[in-house]
Parts: sequence; structure tokens; C-alpha cells
Amino acid sequence: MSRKMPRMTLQTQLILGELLADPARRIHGFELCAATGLRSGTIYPILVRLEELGWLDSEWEAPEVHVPAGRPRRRYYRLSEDGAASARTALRAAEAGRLKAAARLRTAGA
Amino acid sequence: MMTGSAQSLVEPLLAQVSGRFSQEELDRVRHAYDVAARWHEGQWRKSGQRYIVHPVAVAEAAAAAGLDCTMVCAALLHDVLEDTACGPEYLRAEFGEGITDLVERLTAFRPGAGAPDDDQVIMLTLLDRLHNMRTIQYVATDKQLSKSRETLDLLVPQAQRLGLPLVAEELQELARHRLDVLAGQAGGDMTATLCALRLGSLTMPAPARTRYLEEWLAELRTSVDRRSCRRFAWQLILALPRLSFMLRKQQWDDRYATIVHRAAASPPWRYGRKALCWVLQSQTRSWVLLAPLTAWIVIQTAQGNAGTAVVTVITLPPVLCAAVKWLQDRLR
Repeated sequence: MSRKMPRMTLQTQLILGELLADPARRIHGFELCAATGLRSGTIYPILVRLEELGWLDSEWEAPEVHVPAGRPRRRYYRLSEDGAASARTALRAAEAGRLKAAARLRTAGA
Repeated sequence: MMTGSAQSLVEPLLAQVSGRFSQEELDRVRHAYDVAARWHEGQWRKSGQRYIVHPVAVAEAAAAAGLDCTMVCAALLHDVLEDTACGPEYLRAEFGEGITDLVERLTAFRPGAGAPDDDQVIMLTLLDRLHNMRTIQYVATDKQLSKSRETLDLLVPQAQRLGLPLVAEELQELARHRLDVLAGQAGGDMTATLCALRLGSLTMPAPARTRYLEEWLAELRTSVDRRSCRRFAWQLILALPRLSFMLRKQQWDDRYATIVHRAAASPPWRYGRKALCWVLQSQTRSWVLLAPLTAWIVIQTAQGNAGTAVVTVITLPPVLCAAVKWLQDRLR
């Protein structure tokens, strides 16, 4: 199951990059939209997919936080331990693919 | 001409107190007006009126409430220290200690903090707020909200305590009305969006729908900026069909994948599949089975109509061939 990979679209890479910037940080959907500049309609399908693959953990905000703040509870996302490792590998692979393609373009141009 | 119209502003106030105040007091009120008008020169209310209109309105309310000359003058000068370059020394030189001290206390006063029993200051603050609340629709929305709340929570009780039922009543009515208007705007703006989001989410599987709706509504309620809220919601609504499909597929996989997997591993199906593979591996074996079937179908059709039988002979074998090929590809 953990062998399965999400499609490494540029949007997925952006989200994984943002989450990997500080793997311990918990981030909620709106914040992720603002941080990556992606649309909510783009982000949620990717979050659903990543959570299904076990790369992401999500949890409700604790009542001690949201009740005094007087707002409904948020759902927070964070990379799971396996997820962080897989994400790092996947991002590196995507980066290598990009470099290889660029090199090929250069040789083709020359 | 400017001076003429400016002078006429103070005349109703002077007329209002002329029977009650001595000539000296009337002169002081006129002087307070002149000083305030000079310092507020070039300043404008959010409503588009000249700023001096506001201190005069507060002073008129003070006069109507039967307050003394010091209070009326302080009402005229109440924003001079806070909103203009005028310093307390200047006021002290012009009007003496009593009025200056009152204006300074008034400037420092914030409802809910400090000197809660300074009745003079509270009285003028109430009258100041009364005029501000009458023209609050010109102020920014968030300020309308905070001022209306503050009025209801802190100032209306003070007005009742000071025995000013009319002021309390009007403040309460203005603040309540403003909050209703704001709530109506907020509700009206987002209700359609939220309805669309709820409706759209009906395509999602029930457990996921509960979770994501709660998550999204929390995001929408905690975010301040209404425009980004609406964008967030509508982008979600547009993505809902795809999201629903993903979640349903995920649910289907969870529920049936194991069943299908187990069934495929069970002996009857396993041997059946093996046998089918063996038959399909060769064309001969396939057609040994299919030829009698084809023949039977052709004979059955020929008994009814010879023409249809000919059509069947021409069309059926290629279809069966394609089916065999399809199965071979699948089972390989």
C-alpha cells in the first residue's frame, strides 16, 4: 500500500514542499491555500489522495484551543513519518526528472 | 461667507442656552466654538460634513440635558486635543483649569477602562457616542461592529446608571439596528454560497461529507476576509464532483476490494479461471466450444427467418472472435 504513489503534478509537489518545509507544523486548509497560492478546489483533492495513501495525518483542533478562541474547530494536516520520507524521495525524483529533461533540451539545442 | 455659515452653526446652541447662561458664560461658549472651529478647520466627517458639526451637535445635546457651561464648552472642545495639533497649554491659557482638565480626562477616557465613576466624563462620552451612532453608517464595517458592541455592552448600562433613560434607549436602538443590518449583510452575502456548498456536498459519501463540511465551514467562519472566503467556497464547489468521485471510489475500494480479492482466491473461482485460461490459450479449444453454440443459434434463427440466419452467420463469428481476444488480453 505504501508503495503507491500520488501523481506528482506540480501542484502536488508545491503542497509537499510546503508541508516538508517544517514537517512538525500542523497546517489547515485555508492556510495551505494562502501559503501555496493554489485554489481550494485544487488542494482538497490532493489532500484527500495523500491522506488515503497514508502520507498525511489529519486531526481536529483540541477543544482547549478553539473553545476559548470562540470559533469552530479546524482540521489540521501534517505529514506522517513515512509520508515525510516518501515525499522527500518523490520530490527528489521529480527534481531529477526535471534536470534530466533540461539537460536533454540543452543537448538537443546544441 | 465661510465665516458666516460657520457662525450660524453656533447660533442655535446659543439660543438654546440664552435663558439659562449668563452673558459671560454665553461669551465663553461662543469662544469655545471659535477655537474648536479654527482647530478643526479643513477636517471632515466620514459623512462628508465639516467636522465642527459634530462637536456642536454634542454640545447641543449637553445643553438639552441641562448641563452647565463647563460641560457645554468641554463638549465643543472634546476632540481638539485628540484630533488636532492643539495642546493642553493653549486650552488652559484660553479657558482655564476646569474645562481643560475635563477635556483631558475625556480624551484619555476609554469605555470599559479607567475611571468608571467619573460621571462628567461618562456623560459627555455618552452624548459623543450618541451623535456618532446616529451617523455610523458612514464608518468602515468592522468599526461599525466594534462600536455597536461597545455601545450595547458598556455605554447603555452607564446611561441607565446615570438616569438618562432616553439616551440609553436611543443608544440601544441604534446599536441593535446597526448589528442587525450588519448581520443581515453578512448572512445575505454568504448564505447563497453556503447553501451551494451544502447542496454540492450531497454527492459525497455521507461520512466524508460530515467531516469535510465541518472542516470547510470552520475555515469559512474563522477567516475574516469575506472575498477570499467566497473564493475558497466557490472553488471548492466547482471541485466537488471530482472530489465526490474520488471519495466514492475510495469507499468502494475499501468495501469491495477485499471481497473481490477473497472471491478470486477461493477454489471454485481459481480452478474455473485456470480452466478458462487453458481453453482460451488456443483458438482451436475456444472454437471447439463456441462452434456448437454458434451453430445452435444459427439453426434457431433459420427456423424463423432464413434472411436473419444469413446475417447471423456473417456477424456472429467476428463478434465472438473479438470477445475471445478481449478475454485473452484480460486473463493473460
